[in-house]
Amino acid sequence: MKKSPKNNQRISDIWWFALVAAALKLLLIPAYRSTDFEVHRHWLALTHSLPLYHWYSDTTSPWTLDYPPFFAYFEKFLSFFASLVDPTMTNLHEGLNYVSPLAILFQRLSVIFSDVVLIYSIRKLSKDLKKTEKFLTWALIIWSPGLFIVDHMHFQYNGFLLGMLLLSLSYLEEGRDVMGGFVFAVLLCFKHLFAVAAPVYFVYLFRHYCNGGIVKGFGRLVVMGSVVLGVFAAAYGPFAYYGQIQQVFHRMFPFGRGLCHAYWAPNFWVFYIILDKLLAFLSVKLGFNIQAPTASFTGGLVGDSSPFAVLPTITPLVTFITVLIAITPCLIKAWRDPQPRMVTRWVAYAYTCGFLFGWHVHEKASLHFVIPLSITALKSAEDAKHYFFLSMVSCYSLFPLLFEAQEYPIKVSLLLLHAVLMWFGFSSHFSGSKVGKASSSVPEKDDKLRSPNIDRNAKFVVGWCGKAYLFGLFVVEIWGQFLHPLIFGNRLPFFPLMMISIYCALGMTYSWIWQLRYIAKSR
Amino acid sequence: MEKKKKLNQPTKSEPESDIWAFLTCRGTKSTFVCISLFALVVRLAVAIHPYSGAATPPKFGDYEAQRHWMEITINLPVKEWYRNSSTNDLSYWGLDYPPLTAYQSYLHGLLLKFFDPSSVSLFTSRGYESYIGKLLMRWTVLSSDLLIFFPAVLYFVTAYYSKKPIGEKSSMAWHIAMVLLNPCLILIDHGHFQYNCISLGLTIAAVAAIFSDRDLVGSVFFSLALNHKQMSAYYAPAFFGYLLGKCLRRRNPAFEISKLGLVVLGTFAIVWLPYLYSADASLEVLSRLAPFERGIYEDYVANFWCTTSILVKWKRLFATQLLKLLSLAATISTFLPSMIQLILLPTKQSFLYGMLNCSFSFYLFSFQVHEKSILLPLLPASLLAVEEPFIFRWLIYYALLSMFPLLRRDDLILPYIALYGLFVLLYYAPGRRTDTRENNFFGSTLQSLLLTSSLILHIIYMTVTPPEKYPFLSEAIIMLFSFSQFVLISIYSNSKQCALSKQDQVDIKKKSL
Repeated sequence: MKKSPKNNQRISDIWWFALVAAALKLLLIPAYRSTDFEVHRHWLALTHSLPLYHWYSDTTSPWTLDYPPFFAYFEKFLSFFASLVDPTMTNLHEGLNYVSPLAILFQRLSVIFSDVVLIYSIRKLSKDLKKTEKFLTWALIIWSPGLFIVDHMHFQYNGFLLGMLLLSLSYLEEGRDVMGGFVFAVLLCFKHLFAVAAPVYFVYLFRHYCNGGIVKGFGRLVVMGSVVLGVFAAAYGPFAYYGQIQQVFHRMFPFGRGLCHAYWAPNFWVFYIILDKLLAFLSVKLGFNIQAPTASFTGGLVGDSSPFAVLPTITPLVTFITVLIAITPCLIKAWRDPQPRMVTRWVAYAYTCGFLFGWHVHEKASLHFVIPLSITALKSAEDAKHYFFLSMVSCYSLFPLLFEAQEYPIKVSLLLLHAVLMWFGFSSHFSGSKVGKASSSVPEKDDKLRSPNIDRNAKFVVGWCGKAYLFGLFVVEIWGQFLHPLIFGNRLPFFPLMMISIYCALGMTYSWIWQLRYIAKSR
Repeated sequence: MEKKKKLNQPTKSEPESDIWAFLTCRGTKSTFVCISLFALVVRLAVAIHPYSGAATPPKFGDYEAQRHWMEITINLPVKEWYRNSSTNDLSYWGLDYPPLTAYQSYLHGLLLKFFDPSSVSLFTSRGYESYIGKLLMRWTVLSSDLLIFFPAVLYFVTAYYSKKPIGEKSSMAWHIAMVLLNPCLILIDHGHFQYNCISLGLTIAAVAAIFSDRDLVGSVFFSLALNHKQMSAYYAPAFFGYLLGKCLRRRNPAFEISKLGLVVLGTFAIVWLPYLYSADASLEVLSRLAPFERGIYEDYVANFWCTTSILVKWKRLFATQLLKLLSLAATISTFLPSMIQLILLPTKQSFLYGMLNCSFSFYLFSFQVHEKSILLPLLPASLLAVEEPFIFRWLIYYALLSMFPLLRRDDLILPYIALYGLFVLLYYAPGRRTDTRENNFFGSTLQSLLLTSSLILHIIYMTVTPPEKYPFLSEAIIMLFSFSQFVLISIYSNSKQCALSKQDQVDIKKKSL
């Protein structure tokens, strides 16, 4: 870490941003870790000690491997080094719930280093931007409080997976469709949750890449198909060879889990649940005999009993169809006019739909669209406004992940810092006529001219509605942290969390509608 | 996450090279808010690391000392705080800082008592350690930092840049980051565990007041700093010299001096009020503040006495009494030139150099210096960072090195590495105006050589077990190395102050002609 100053002067600026973030990540190493830490440690041990055909059938720990094979290979790769650093860490049985300073250091560093993929793809994505825009974009992504909270405290590898997503998007924007499709296929074999955007990719690539007459189009379809199939074969081939394929899919899609995660992600189903409760409550008041549901929304594995008292129960199939319907407008757009400059928005929109209507959604999944949307945040004042709002809501909805007192001020000041940076950055970039004019009004981007609802001299102003909503976040937080314990003591412990879910779900729904409108209006 | 800095003249070809303009174009306060939020995050992150003496009975470390003071101050009457008794065993971390520290402990003790009473109960809380106790203690440091140090820096920056031309304001953001993100201060206060931010913050406030020509306010702040940590006396000759020199140039020197004197005495009287009822009581407190029995040096501090003890066994050869005189004479004779210059020519610029020089002479030659005292010379160096970027950087490197053994004992290697890296990154933030003085081949080769050897020293200290005969060999080498750099820096800065005053004299003569 002791960089000689001379090297420093020469490193490219993006590495400066990355290293500053890395210094902070290093400091956060002893911070709170969720069980995901043990999950990934167990996967290191699992892939290190067992032959490949046992990876998806082992039951030594409840944290079975439920990511696709490339992630397992990645863990296998890490486990070589892990076993050198601390052999107990990769021991299948002795390693269970094993924590040592070295093990923590190793796993945390593996997350920090894997973020290099993210840095690389941001650099690629932002290479045509002007300097000030670059700096702002980098600050939005590399210093994103969401990534700090989820990856470097809670513990996951999202930075590196999102890096691949951005890489794929940057290929598509450059018009290199085969590379874009290839990277996306690889990403799917790392984490299948990213498959929500697969329909968008499919339609876009089919219309944008496989065109130019029947023969050429068909030829290209074959090329693309074989690239994608090749990737899948590399991932699943070995498991198919051992006849494990069914077991792999069984582990990857545990539909035994409930509609909602333990902490309700702020999505559409929160409203549905609340409506159900409300109706049940009213019905009881009106004298109907309503049976209290025996199952919960979060606990899975409850057989056939419905967790809903009044409304029809929701099955994975229903959520699947809802997501598909929600994505349809952007599929139609992509079919009619597959433009590279829109692809990032479409993909982000698809993830928004998946987040809002999906089955057993984690709050962390909001990163899947917040991070790609940072790329578009500087395209117009409207975009900036939406992004400012969305990223605050998304980061705030991650707060319940860190529930210990020690991390409390850290997450709050990370969010404040992010907000202040965005506020200063956006308002000087979109300052209407003053300082930012030189940088924001030069019509060097043709999409600025082509997009309908963009006023190049627009100012970045968060309206009273947005301000009131953001102030509401503050009220919800004060209530949950201070007033609720003061008034109710230990009763209704779920209530503050529920309020966060509901309140953030409002913001998420707004963002979904905004994106939908934007896509529908775009030409 | 972040913010940071700076500035820059259009050194790069692109027209919008002022990449931090979005931060700085809105004025001092918003720049400051941004950087201080980042500085806050860094402090919070350092605070999750261990503190000094964590889980090491029976004496623990500075953390336990501070906690013990809270225990003593909230359970005993004021008069008993500094007195050995059956309830106050002074040999166990007895209070040995001036009364303001005691009051601060009292306030913080109340806070701890409210949230976690067992952490400050008399006797039974000795060696008390718990998750919530650690958090509360950490938050007391953080809040002191936020309430005293941060506003003082804002005050200083406002005063310092108020008279500068617009062009020079561009380096303000960088300057704020350098002062707020001083790695040594963060490591000691939020890692090791101390409250230096209070006395240093009060000192900065005093400097800021003096920069805005409010000398009386400045002397109140400085008296308060002195009453929080007696180490603030390292700056006393500079304050004394500057204020005296300034008074002498006024129309009515005697009146001005007596005004200042009254203000200082008044501040002291208020702080010492509970101990003024008898001379004995005051002397009792005073004697606690000067722990001569601890010897001329402790551990391996990179100052003159400790370093030369390799050749001359001071502790064995001389009586403590004589050593006291020796060190006093050495200290005075080294800070005297700087102080006299200040009296003769009290300009604001040379005042900062004077602070640096005086604190260095105390650090290098006074009695009972601790490695943490390097924070005192570091403060004026950080205030001078824009004029003397190289000196500041160099001093930070070797101050960090000299504290490395201490921080390693505290198990703070990780934050040490992270903050070291962060400092280098912030120092070389993109868009910074490059200092042309640093581009000389010979100098940069020498620099790289020294930096490489310091890196190697770190590694050796971490990995190699010293020979049994010399168990503290690496500490001694680190000390020697840091000492040599400190001496060089101090010589440079003394000569710089001297050159400044000559320059000023020439200017004045020209004007009078």
